[in-house]
Amino acid sequence: MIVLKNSIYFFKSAIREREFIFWFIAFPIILMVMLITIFSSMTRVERINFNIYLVKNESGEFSNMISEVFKRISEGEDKIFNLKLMENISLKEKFFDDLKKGKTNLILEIPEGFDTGILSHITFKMLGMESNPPPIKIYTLKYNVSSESASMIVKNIFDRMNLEFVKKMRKVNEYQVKTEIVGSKAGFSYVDFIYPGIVIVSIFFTGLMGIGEELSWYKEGKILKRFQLTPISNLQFFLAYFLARFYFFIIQILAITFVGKVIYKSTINPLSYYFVLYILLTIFSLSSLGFFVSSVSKNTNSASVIAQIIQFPLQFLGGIYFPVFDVPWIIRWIVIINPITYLAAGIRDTLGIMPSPYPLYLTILVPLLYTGVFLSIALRKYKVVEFS
Amino acid sequence: MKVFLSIALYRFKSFYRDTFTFFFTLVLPIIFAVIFGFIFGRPEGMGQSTIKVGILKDNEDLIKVVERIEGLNISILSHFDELKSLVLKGSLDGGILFDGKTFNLIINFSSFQQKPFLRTLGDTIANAYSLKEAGVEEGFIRVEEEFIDPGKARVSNLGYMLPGVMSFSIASSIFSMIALFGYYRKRKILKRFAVSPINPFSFVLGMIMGNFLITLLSSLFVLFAVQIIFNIKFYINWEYLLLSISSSILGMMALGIFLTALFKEPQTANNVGNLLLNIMIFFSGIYFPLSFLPNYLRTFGQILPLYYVAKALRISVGVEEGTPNFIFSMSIIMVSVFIILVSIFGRDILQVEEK
Repeated sequence: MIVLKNSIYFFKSAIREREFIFWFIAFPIILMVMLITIFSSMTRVERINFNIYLVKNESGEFSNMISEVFKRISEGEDKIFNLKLMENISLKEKFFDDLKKGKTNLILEIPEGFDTGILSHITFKMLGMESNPPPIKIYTLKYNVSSESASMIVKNIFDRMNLEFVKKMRKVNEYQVKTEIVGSKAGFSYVDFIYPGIVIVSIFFTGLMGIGEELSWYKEGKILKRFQLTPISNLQFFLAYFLARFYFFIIQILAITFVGKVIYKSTINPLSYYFVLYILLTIFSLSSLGFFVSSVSKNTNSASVIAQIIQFPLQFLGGIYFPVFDVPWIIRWIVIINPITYLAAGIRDTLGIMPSPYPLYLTILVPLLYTGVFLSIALRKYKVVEFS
Repeated sequence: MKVFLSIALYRFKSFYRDTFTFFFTLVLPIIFAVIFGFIFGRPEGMGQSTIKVGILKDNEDLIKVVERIEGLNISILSHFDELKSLVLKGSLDGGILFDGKTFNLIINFSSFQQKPFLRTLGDTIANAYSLKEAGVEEGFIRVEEEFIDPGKARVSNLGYMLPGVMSFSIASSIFSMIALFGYYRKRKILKRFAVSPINPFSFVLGMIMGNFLITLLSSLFVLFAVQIIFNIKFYINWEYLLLSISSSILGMMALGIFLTALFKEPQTANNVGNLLLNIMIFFSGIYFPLSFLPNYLRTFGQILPLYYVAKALRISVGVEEGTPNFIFSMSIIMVSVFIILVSIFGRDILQVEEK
């Protein structure tokens, strides 16, 4: 009973702090919204449009046809390009400058003599003679991902045009194309991918800062020592403190689930047995990390620095935001020793979002092992230093 | 003047003892550079990226077609399980299978996140295959691609991303001003100067100068560190670089002062500053190009100050083409905003303290 009563006190004291609510509930949701806004756009090709210049030095039938195709796909809400038609070829150097400055992602040039070239090529081909097709020039910026992607799309459009030209002259077999992102269950959904990650990251933040830093503050202010004078035992204190955070974890998960399920229509079932199991495992292992940080820190400031140093590598190299299976060895060791790696891989595998690169038993055993090690060190430290 | 210099020097010396500022200004940018550099960076000298595609060896016609497509690096494999396993591990970006009726393209999730246009690869291969069958492999239109060098320095996309990491160091100035004008005010530190021979104005200017020097040197240190870690040589225009960093530091300080004036509680100002920094890092085109975003997000990114800071830094280290006018204009705006905000809010804060 005393544990329950104290847990409610700790819980109330936490939710009274605006900062606590901001960083542990509002911030993970803001992060989720930002990531979904950015990466869902990036993975939905139809919503992105590249800037391209079309430099036209010809006005024949074929050139006009190409120009019309590009104009058509640069119109409407689902346009692929923001197209600018350029007819003054003497400004070519200026166009290159624009490409370097990022004003355009690609320059497409229909060179002089293109239409004549096509006609000759078709005639030669019909006569069974060898001939090279006339070139269309595209200029892209070296090492630039946007330019590279725009180039891929433009080449794809010309492949399609080639096929359409040939279809007018002879019978062509056309084939169906199916694309599958390996690992995802029903097509690719960034929301499904990121939702469990955000749940993990919010528990991680609370574990490190909401437990690690706050308990260090209790230590620094000798509050823990004062508890020795009260009827509450050390064990009861820690149980009550953990329980208070547990209530908070539930609120966090509910808030993130509301955004994921209601606003972004995630297909993950948060009541599934596996999801609940892994979330409990996450809560235990990342809370124990918080207890561990508080036990080894001399004061709040050092806990805060330790938390920040741990936070970034574990967060970014745990596969929460992007897969980290195939990274160089120089950072791979962090991925391997990182408990978040196993939690994120396990949860996504069991939910069918993405296969885990590690055996499933490891995704349970490694976090459990960390929980045991962190808790035993923390309890020992507290027993020797604080409660002796 | 002596007081001002002593305080600036004090702040400079205390930097290494202030673990939190030290971490945010110096350690965090290097941690970020290492993480993002090794995960997303394409090493120097690799040039344009190639797409690693696996094909089963019994598809001989398909192999011939795919071999003719530029930018693909083909691996020929015996079994589907082997191909799928390599795609799952990320050793291959994708695998293409053909059963005589349908082309099945499987893409690795990580590759897809980095190159979303990989999904067009299936159509490219199917079109090329149909053309080969029709006996017009080369089609009627040939696309000739010419690569234009981006700037003076021939650096990879890793080199393009790294100057943005410096903006982390620069952005720490937001928090140094919140500490100075927010926490110092809250703890009534500035008020105590009323009973000392030190003019509070000299104290504030000295602290600003100290923080300015710390951030400037830290940014340069980060720049040198990433060049060594990733073996990249930037072609630095020192005049532009120093001007860009200095004015950006002042601009970020102005943002910190503005937040302190806007929120009475320094912790709130700090939280809002942190949130703004996170938003700016995601939407300013530091880690991925803005052109991957829809138009409305692109426009949003372009109104954020960090977009201009990162662009000026890239121009200064030679990885992006740009005119001196851009750097001068950005610098004038940043410094003007700083002067205006310091004159308005700085005086306000000191007057409140003196009362």
